Amino acid sequence: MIKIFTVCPQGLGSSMIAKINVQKALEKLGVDGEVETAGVTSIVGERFDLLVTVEELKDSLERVDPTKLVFIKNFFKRDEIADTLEAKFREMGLIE
Amino acid sequence: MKLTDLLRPNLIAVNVHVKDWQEAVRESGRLLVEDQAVEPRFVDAMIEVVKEFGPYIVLAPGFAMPHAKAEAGCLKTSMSLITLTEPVEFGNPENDPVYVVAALTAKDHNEHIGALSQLADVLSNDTVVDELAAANSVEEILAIVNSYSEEN
Repeated sequence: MIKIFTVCPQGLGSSMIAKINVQKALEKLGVDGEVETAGVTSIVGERFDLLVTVEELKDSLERVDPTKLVFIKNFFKRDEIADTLEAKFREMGLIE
Repeated sequence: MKLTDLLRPNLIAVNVHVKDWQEAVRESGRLLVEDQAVEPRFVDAMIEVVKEFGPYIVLAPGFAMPHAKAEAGCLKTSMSLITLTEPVEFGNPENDPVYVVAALTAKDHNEHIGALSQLADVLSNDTVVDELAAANSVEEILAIVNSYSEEN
């Protein structure tokens, strides 16, 4: 079971959309995971395995372990999100 | 809550003229203010979010979703949607120019998840933003939203 946060500035709109699409990607890839949303400030102190967000927020997340960061271009593109996560899960050894 | 509970007919406007992204956000916000879904200061907060964090609110090609925290003056969970006669640039290299702007306000994190899930279904379709932009009436917008919501 891995813990994933989707992050946007406020943890409200875009991260919620991302959460829905990440959950769908997990189902598709058969990976057991829990997905929560957070804002760039509320993520501080949280424990997680991966953090999914967009490139624009890179600077706000410079204290996060870069190996845990996954950047997506478009919160709505399910295929892109699934492909990006699939590559990351492979790197992590979660899927073959 | 369903998407159409948030996106009520009086919160939709088609073929709106704006000169830049700020005016686009203000117009989408004005509908929320007139509906008493938000306090006027919420609209300023949506603009501040873009200035502070960059144009990440352009979530998909041609589609921006301005929003701000509940504490910025949300009165009831709602979404407005405007289509623009001339597209505007938010400064997002991937997804500019924008011709559909949907402003979101949510009182808490859970109330709107069903509606956003439906929105995610609607916008996962590649052609829907073009279809929304081409619509000429509120009824057409709602028909497009409903057609993609039902498919999923």
